[in-house]
Amino acid sequence: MKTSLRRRLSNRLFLLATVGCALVALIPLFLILGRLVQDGMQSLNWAFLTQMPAPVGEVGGGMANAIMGTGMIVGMAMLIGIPLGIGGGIYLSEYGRGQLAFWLRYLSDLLAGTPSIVIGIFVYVLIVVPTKHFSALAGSVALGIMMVPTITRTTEEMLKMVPRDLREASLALGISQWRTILSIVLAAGSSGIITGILLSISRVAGETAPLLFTAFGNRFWNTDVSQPTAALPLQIFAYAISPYDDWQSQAWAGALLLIMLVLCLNVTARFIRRGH
Amino acid sequence: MSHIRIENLSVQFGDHQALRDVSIDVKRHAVTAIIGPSGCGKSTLIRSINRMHDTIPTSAVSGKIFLDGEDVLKMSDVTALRRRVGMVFQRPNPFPTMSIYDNVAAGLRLNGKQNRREMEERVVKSITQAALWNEVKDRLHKSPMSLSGGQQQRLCIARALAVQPEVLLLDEPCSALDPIATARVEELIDELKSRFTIVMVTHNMQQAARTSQYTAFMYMGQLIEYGNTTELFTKPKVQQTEDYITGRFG
Amino acid sequence: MNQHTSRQYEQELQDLRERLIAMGSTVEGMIIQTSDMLEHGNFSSIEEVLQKDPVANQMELDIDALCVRLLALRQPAASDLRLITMGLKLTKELERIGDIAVNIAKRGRACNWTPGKAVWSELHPLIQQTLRMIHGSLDALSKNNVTEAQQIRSEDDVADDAEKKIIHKLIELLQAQSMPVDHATSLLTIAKYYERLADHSTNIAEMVIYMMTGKDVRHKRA
Repeated sequence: MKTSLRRRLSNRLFLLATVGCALVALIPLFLILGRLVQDGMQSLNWAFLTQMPAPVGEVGGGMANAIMGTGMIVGMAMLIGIPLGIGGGIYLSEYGRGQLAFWLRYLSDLLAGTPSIVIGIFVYVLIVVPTKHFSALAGSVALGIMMVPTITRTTEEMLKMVPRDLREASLALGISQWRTILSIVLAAGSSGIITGILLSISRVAGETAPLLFTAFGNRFWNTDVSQPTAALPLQIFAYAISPYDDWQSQAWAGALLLIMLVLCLNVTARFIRRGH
Repeated sequence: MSHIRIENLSVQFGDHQALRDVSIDVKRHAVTAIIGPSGCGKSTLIRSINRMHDTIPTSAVSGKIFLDGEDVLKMSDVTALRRRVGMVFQRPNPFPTMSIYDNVAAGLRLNGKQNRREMEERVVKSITQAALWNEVKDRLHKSPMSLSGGQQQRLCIARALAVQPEVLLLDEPCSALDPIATARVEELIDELKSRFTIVMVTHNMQQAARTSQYTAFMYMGQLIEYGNTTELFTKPKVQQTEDYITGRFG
Repeated sequence: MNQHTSRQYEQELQDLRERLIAMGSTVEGMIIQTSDMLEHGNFSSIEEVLQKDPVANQMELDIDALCVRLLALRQPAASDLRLITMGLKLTKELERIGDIAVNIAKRGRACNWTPGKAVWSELHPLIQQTLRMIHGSLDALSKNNVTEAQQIRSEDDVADDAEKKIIHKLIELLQAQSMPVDHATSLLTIAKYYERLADHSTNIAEMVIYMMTGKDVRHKRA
């Protein structure tokens, strides 16, 4: 009786402690969200989305160029990262055996853990130095490289989850292996792969460090991929460290926009996963 | 008349010898059942006929498998072979991302056959041959996952038939089905045998007795006895066969 | 032979074998007793034979029910299938043997049978031959002895010849008017019965051969 009481008591205590820890861990998240909404909503308006930055000293203006820049850079990063990532994933899941696959998988993990600024410097040396230009393209390459390991891993995992039966059913119909992979296996794993892609986009969309040395930022409207280009995280960074109240307020709005974008992608990803 | 002639077939997976020197003549337009305890090599045997072992890098196949006199193991185009030798698996495995229609059309489409009218005819004919038409004609463009297990399995048979094979390999086609669905598939097998050569692996001896004309009993990778189904089930020649079919095993 | 994986099934098959043998020895007992009464012209113990008849009939019903149950529940194959299907047919043969024993006994009592020397010397070999065949076929059944069964099968002609001899003898006696007609017809019937019994034991022997080897030897020369 006595031990049973003590056991129940300690059980209850431990449960309380873990719930407490979980709540404490969530507090910063809510504080960040709260602060962002509070400070960001003031400046988040139509003008912010559609207008160019105002010259120093003038109130108003927006981040249209940065929004456009982020769209352009991330869009091109997808063109680079998705094919490479899916291709790598297919290789690892369908063909990958022995040494090559081992190293590929290992390097992919290593790449996933590489600090983003290191990737930025790498692309700087690889593209910016030879072309003597900061450019949107260089930024896209940096972000694209960052997307590859996530997409490779999710693709590999998802394809490995596709039952062997399905591959055999297709092969037994006299369908060649590459068509089987593209039409049957990839289709069966598509929802998981799309989730992986969305998560990787949401991750790189907020990256600042690799863009510092590559896209660099631009206060003007630019659609030329070979020219320095603005991006939301860069603009937020620039405005947040400026001494002007109005700019700081716009930085909050930019941050709110960015986090909403990331949140949307995450929710969509979760939704696709659940729907499957 | 024999359609498939297997001579001294041995199959090895790594260190494991799955088949040992199996020779067997499969008769044209008849059902040949392969029975035996789990792991006796019956699936390995039929998967050799459409060279499914090609997908397993550690597999080593030796011997000869003649399909109408041509050695299957020496064919350079495996996909052409597999279009001649269709296969249906243990668990129904329709392509989940495709509609019922597209499942049946898949073998034609992904093999590059494109004429729409011809394809539609072939799909309808295959579904009808698989005795499934009345059950799916109103939902051809729905997902196959809404069908029952038995219907899914008949869909898989239709999918295999659409490629117009000569031989159908059935790998325990009813083991995941309830008795009524099983009876319908058996009925279907009986109808199909007039046009196809059917080789069926089953662990259900009654099923082998009901549906096949010839039965092969395998044990530990070897062919123990092969012959007329009625003979094998009433007076087997080998004691091991007798023990197995009467349930004296272990 | 190995044991069945299902011990209950094994038990039931064993039970079937034992019941068949028990029924065999019951009807064999009946015909031995009847033959004994014929030999001594004394039918005082006929009741014993008559009482065994319903026992044999009940055995037939029980064995048939057991066979049907095994067929329905166990889906027997190979030697088990042959045992069970032959079980169904054996009961028929055994039951006939019991019936014939009763008929002979009744016939003998009804005609105030006393075996005349001349006739008995003809009838005796047929009776002995038949009893030997019945015993041999039942022995082959209980011992699963194919050689013995084949032996019995080849002896059917001996019984047939013995019967023919009796018929000739009776015709002779009737033509010489040295025997009453009613007595002669009784004798004729009894001889016919024994010949029929020999046929039944041949059938049993053929069933034993089929059970053991799967070879159907019916309607073929021995």
